[in-house]
Order: sequence, then structure tokens, then C-alpha cells
Amino acid sequence: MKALSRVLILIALAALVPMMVQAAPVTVKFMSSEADLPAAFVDKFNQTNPDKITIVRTEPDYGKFMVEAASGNASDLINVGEGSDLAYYVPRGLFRDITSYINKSKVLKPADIDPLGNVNYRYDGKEFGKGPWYGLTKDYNNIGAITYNKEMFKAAGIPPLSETVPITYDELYQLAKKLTKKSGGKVTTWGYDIQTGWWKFLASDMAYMQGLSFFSDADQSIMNTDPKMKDIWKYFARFFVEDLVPNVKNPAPSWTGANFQSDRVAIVQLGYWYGAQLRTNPNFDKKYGWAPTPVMKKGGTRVTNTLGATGVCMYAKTKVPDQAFKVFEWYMGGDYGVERAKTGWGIPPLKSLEPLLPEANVFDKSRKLIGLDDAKYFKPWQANEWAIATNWDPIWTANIEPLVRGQITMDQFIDKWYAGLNKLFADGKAEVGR
Amino acid sequence: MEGIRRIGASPLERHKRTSFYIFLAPWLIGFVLLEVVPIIWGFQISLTNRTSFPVAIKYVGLKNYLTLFQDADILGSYWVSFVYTILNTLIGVVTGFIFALLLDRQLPGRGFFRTILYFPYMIPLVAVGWIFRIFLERDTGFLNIVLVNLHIIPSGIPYMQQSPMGSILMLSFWQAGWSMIIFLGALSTVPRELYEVATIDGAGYGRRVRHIMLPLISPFIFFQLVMSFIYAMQAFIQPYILNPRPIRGNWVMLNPPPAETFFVMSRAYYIITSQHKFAYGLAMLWVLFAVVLVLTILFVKFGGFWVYTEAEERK
Amino acid sequence: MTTIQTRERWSASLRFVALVLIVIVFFLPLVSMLVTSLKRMDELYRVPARVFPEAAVWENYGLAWTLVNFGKYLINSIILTILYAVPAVMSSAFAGYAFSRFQVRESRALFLVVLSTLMIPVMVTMMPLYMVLARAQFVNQRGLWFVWGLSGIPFIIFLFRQFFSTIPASFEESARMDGAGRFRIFFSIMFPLVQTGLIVASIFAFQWSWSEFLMPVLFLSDEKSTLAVKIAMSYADQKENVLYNIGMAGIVYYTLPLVIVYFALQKRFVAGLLAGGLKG
Repeated sequence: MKALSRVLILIALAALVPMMVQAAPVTVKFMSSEADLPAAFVDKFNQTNPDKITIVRTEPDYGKFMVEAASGNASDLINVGEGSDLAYYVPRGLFRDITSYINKSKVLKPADIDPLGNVNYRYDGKEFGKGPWYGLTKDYNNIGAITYNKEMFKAAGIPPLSETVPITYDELYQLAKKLTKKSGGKVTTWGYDIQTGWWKFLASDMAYMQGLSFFSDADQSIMNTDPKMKDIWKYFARFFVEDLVPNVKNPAPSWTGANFQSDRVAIVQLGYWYGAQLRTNPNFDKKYGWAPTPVMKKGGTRVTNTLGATGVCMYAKTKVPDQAFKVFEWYMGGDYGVERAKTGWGIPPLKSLEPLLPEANVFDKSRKLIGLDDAKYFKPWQANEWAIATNWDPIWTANIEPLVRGQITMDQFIDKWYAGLNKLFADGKAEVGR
Repeated sequence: MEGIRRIGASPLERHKRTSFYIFLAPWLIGFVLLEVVPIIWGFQISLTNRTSFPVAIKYVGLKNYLTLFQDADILGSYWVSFVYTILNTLIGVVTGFIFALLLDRQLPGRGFFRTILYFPYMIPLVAVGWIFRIFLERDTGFLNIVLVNLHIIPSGIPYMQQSPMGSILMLSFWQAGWSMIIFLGALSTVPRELYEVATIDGAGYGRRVRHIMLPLISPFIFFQLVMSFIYAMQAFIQPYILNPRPIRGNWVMLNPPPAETFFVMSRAYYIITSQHKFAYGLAMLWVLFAVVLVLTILFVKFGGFWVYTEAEERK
Repeated sequence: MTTIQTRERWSASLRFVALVLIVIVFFLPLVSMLVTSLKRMDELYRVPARVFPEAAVWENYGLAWTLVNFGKYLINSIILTILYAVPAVMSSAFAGYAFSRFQVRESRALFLVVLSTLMIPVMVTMMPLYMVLARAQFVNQRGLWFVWGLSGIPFIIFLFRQFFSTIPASFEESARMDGAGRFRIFFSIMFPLVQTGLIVASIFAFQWSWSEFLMPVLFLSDEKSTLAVKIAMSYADQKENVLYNIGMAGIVYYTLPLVIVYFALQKRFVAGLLAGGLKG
């Protein structure tokens, strides 16, 4: 009897659910981390509730995204980690073309949209920066910009770096050598540290500056065996072998940004946004300095990139595109867009918001100037459509370990790196039947 | 014999069966909805070539299964999972046993000790992982600071890099409280008189343990071995959090662990979400289920010879 | 003093010393967690390494609460835990009773099925389950926790089966003679006798639901999400900077309810497991 009444209650509840759903205002689901979509702003939006829209945030999890997409049920707006991944997602029909919305938008005027910062959010099936818009960056950054520890430089007798004239990558290597400190055979402070996977973004810049391509075929699926291109990869591998960056023999406690923040690393290339993280350190404005993205030859061509830049796209099968776009406008150029620009965690997608970037002290001023200057030389990094950006990294990480331990040679490493990538791309091609 | 065994004939039998199913009903409902339906769906997916964001799905029969049996990396995952399971079970059960022995008899502060030793088991595994990641760090981790200051080691050891498996097994030791509790229960079922009689007969501690204690608690040991096996084969998150490679932000599962700790569940998740091979990953998990099921059945049927059972079994 | 008493004294002293040493070792990771929670971000990985922070940053504990709106998700976690634990305990007790009392031919096989649900890797069911629920439009619903509870906890089913087996059949017989139906018998007679079993079951259910991460991530949106998810995902700045120090403080808060519940009920909990519980 008790069980029966329990069942009846369940049935009644189940019947109520669809009724409750219909009476509510339109819900726009936004898949984003909390840091990129703070609850305070969501609540404010929901309370003022313009156009009767309610934002509901869902936690970004790749498995979740996958099953949601498989069920046609993904969030209406999706925070995409790297815009370059659009090359992978668009052919798979995941994102919606919002060009028409943007052209009609009063908040996001097309002329106001920074074309270089947002380059990865336009894709015509072959090239970035052309064709339909699929989204915009939440903010972009010059990830090649140098942040360095002035005190460590001083202690090593090195003068501070110029804020206007970029150093060369060779000079960077020499500096890393000078600044790495060992004690008892173990590295205690590293001269340089590179964020996992970011070697490929910097390698892209270096390749552009020398007129080289990552790939040797028109499909962009086979790695370029030109010795000059291989040298670029070797440049980065050398840091690992010579213990100038944390590696498996000398592991650092955490990721690049946290290591630098604890004064364990002298130079990093992270970008404009990193300044916001360093602001919690005491004395940060005197201790840390900025320099523009390095070049290959002194005074030579400058190429920089913003990886793909984190941004927001609209789901192809969204049932509420108009309302989703209204939220998109609010996020990019409306209230929250304005607030975000003021926090200094990245360069805003709209040119008109750039003046809002913080300039209260020398540190913020210099990173802003360098950021906006570097941004003039953006070229989208040489991604292809066969894999998302993060899938390149485990291949490098797995093979760099035997290289560091001396179990394979540098040439063997490059061969394995290439072989792994070629297979990755071949799999990606097979997925879409090519 | 046959005459007695006609099922459902007697009203008592029917009443029994009705009662059985009525009381089992809630479990059955949950089981069908949450297990059977998704399992069938999932199995069906494993027979296709479905990727994470499929463009064209087609049935490929058992191809996924055949491929994975030829993939050395994946077979390696089954092996390291097995090794981990054996070691984890050993460490957990032996540690739990020792703790239980220490706490079995009266001593001051018994309740306090029991709580402290059980407490780490209550901390959710992800939190434990992060605590240990910071604890085991080479230069700034607390363990190394203590050991270096006590002059036990000259300088910090990078535990996660030198022995990824060892680092994960530290958790087995720290969380042995589950085993301790079960052993405490087990030890309480052994009548004290048996020990006393044996002591009077001149048996030393070791002999009392071997001939009285162990046989009488052997069913509990058996139970723990089976349970620990089933759980440990499905270990998933530890290799990611105690990954010797750097972790980007919160995305623990972005960088795969090294081969020696790339357990089956960890690799399957990686295959599904990072390599986008949904069907392939599901096939891998199905094989895991089959392996665990077969090994458990074999163990229960043939591995229980050392378990002591009472002459009269309770019906 | 007799030799037996001296031996007891010796044994107790040795065991005490051994336990103190073990407890000290056990405390080490907890100390690490506490000192980390009181450091500034830039102090976390400095060398030369220091155990204690320059100045204890007690604000971290305040931030651990406000940064993730701890109160709201604490309530969410409690709601979901109750929604799960109640049917889980009831269903497990029912099932344990069924297996113990009503031995039919299929009992053994079905019990093995119950056990084998432990062997099914969670991803095999979770992801396809989402796809099934999405078709049925049953997404972002707390009711799923109730259904999950219905599927019981195999270990607890086993436990209850053992408990019920220790109760003599005479209790039921007399109740049946008085004309009580199935459920009357079950509730009025069986239940009070296995109360400690309920406590054990509730603690396990609580522990399980409190730490469950994959289900809230897959099936719930943020406003209904749980503490487990917040602890894992939300102690971070933008751009991948995880706030380990505040995160540790968050873990302290997060583990506290479990500890309090266990501490309050530990006598009953241990008694429940001890009492004629686990005979193989």
C-alpha cells in the first residue's frame, strides 16, 4: 500500500514537470566555467530579466558536451576553449552561423569588432578570418608576450628587457640558460617555462616569420619535413633536454603561471591576461616586467598569435537563437562585457571597450601597451581541421620524456612527434570520411 | 526428488515468490531504468563506429572489440589495472588487519584512534587526490619537508615522477579504514574463550592467530578481497590527479597519465572524450566488465577453498 | 600482578605507542592541507620551502565560502543526498529482506545480478543514460536521484540480508498468525530490530551521494548542482589559474559534514557493522 502511494506520487510529479516548464520564461543554457561566467552577473541578469530571458549555466565537461550534442540537446551558448577548434567543430555541424545577427546588432557593431583578435571565429571551411561568423572571443591575448622577474634578472646582472623592441628567440634561449639555477644537481629555479602545448602556438609564429608551413600537403594533414621546420620544433625540445624548463627529471610544482607566481621561473610567455593573476603578489608592479613577443631576426617581421582565443559560439540546433543572441550581446558588449574589460583579464573583442582596460599602475600600463601593439601582428596559428588543439599535446608530452631521459635522440623525437601527429590527423580525416 | 521440486505448485511457494518480488520491486525498478536500458543502448553503440561528434554512423559489428584486442596500449591498460588491483587490495587488507589487531582489545583512547584511522576513508577521492598532489611535491611538499628535516633523506623526492603507481598506492594505505572497520567486526565474532583455551594449552600468539583467528575471520577476508577487486579494477580518477605530468587548471583529464598508471577506466574516458572515439571506448569498458565478471566468478567458485565455514550453515 | 595481567599491560602499552606513531603519520597529509589553506598563492611553491605561511591568510576560509556561494550548494547537496538516501536505504532494506526471507529458486541468481551491478563501469551507463533521458525530456531533474536511490546499494543489500538472517522466523510467524499483511510484518517487527543497520546504510548513502561528481555534472545545470562539483571546478580564476589554497579551505568545509555525522553516530555505526553483521 505504501509502495503504491509512492508510485502515484511519482506519477503526479512527473505530470507536473512539463506544465512547470511551459510557464517559465525562456531559458538560455550557457555552457561555461564559473570563472568565465560568474554567478553574480548571471543573477543580476536574471533579476533584471530583460526580454524575459533566464540564463542557466552548465558546467563545461567534454563528456557532457559530447552526449548533449549526440542528443541534440547541447547548451545554446558554448564557451569554446580555443577558437581554432572551430575548424574541427564547424564541419561537424555543431555551431550556428550568426553573421546575420551580428550584422543587425546594435551592441556588436561589425565595424567595432576587432578583426585580428577575433580572427578564429570566422571560418569559411578553409581559412580563418573569412566567411561566416560563428562567435566572438570572450577576450584575446598576445600569448607570446614575455613576463619576467626583474629581481632575478638583476641578481644575474641582466638589464631589464625593452618594452618596445622585441628580443629574438635566440636571445630568449641564452637568457634561459643564464637564469636557470641548480643546487645539488637539481634545478631550483628555471630560466624559462612554457605552458603545456603552447610550443605549437609559438612554433606557428616562428614558422610564419620564416615563411614556413606546418604541413606539407594541401589538406594540411601531413607534417612538413623541411629541416628548417624541424629546427623550430627542435628549438623547443632543446629547452626540455637542457633542463631549462621543468621536465620529468626536474618537475615543477604546478603549471607555468603558478610556478612563476611563486618565483620559481624567471621568464614566461603567457600573455596580457597573466598580469591580472600576478596582481595578488605583494610588490608585483615593481617585481615583474613585460616585453613584446620575440622575433626570429632583430628588427625582422613580427608575427604573434592569440592561440585561438577563448570565445563563445552558438549551438547549431539551438531552439532559442534570438534570445541566445541577446545573451551573447550582453556577454560581449553589454553590461558583462563592459565589466569584464575593466578587470584586465584579457583584451576585449570590441575595439570600443579597449580604453576600459586598467592602467592604474606602471605594470598595467605596460602590459596594455604591449598587448595592443603585439595584437597588430596577429596571424591565426596554423591549426588544421583534423584535430582539436589540445589533442596535439599528449603526443609531445609522451615523447619528450624518453628524450629527456636520454633514451632517444632528438631526431628520433621529431620523427615520433610527426608520426603521432600524422596518425592523429589521419584519424580525424577518417572521421569525416576523407 | 523431482516430485518435491515442482515450482510454484504450492500456495506457500507462490506466496513466497509474490512477497519476494514485491519487496524486490524498488530495486528492480531502479535497476531496469538506470542499468538495463542504458546498458542495452550503450552496447548497441559499441557495435558502431560512432565518434564523439559523428558525421556518419554505421554498424561495424564486433570490429571495435577485435581492434582493441590488438592494441598493445590498451592491453597494457588492462595489465596495469590488474597490477594495481592486486597491490591495492594487499595494502588495504593487510593495513586494515594490522589496525584492527591494534584496536581490537581495550586501551585508552580507542574510540579516538578508531575515528582518526577511519576518517581519511570518508574524504571524497578527488579531494584526497589533490591533498596528496600537494603533499607529495618535490620541493615544497610537506612529506619531503618532514623527511629532509629529520635527515631521513638528503633532499626532496619527486614521488609522482619516480613512481606514479607508488604515489597512487599511498592512497590505499591512507584510506585503509574501510578494511579496518570490517576486520574489527570480524574479530568481534571470534569468541574470546577460544583464545583463552589455546593460551592455556600453551599456544603462542602466532599460533593463536594462524589457527584460530584467521580461519574464523576468513569469510570476512574473502568478502574484502572480492569487493576490493571489483572496485580497484574500476579505479579512474587517481592516475589523473596524481599525474606526474603538469595539470592545466582544473582540467585534470586533459593530460593522460603515463602508461604505467593508465588504468582501463582512465584510458576509456580519455578515448571517449579526448580521442573522440565513443564507440571504441565503450567497447573497452564492456571488455572490462566481462573480465571483472569472469574473474570474480572464477575466484568465488574456485578461490574459496581456504575459507572456513561452520559445519552447520544457517539457512 | 599475574603474568597474564602484566602481559596485557605490556600489550596495551605497545599497541598504544604503535597507534600514536600511526596516527602521526596519518595526520601528515591533513597538516599539509591545513597549512596550504592558509597561504597566499605566491607562497605555495616558494623555495626554500616553509611549512607555515608568513601570515596566516584566514580570508581564504571566508573566500572559500563566498567564491562558490557555498551555502546554496550545501543546501543543494543536502537535498540531493536526502532524495537519494531515503529510497536507497529503503530499497536496500526491502531487497535484503527479500533475499533473506523469501528463498525462491531465482534468489541466488538475482543476488549475483545485484552484485554484478557493482562491476558495470559507470561510464557504460551514465553516458547512454543521458541520451535516453534526453529523448524522454527528463533532463536537469532532481527526480533522477530518487530513481538512483531506488537501485539501492549492493553492499547494503548484502548487509541487510545478513541482518535479517539473524532474526528468528518466530517473530514473523506470530505476526502472521495475528493476521498482519506483508508490509505490517515488515515495518512493525523487522524494522526496529535492524535500526543500527539503518544507521550504517544511511552513512554509506550519505558518503556516496556527497562525493558523487559525474552525475551532477552530466545531468544537472549549475543552479541545482552539488558541492562536489563546485569543489572540483570552481575554485579557479579565469584562464586556468586554480586557487589551490582556497580550494583546500573548501575541502575542509566540504568534509566537515561527513565528519560530524560520522562522529555523532560512530558508536552506532561500528556497533551496526559489528552486530552479527557480516558473516560470509
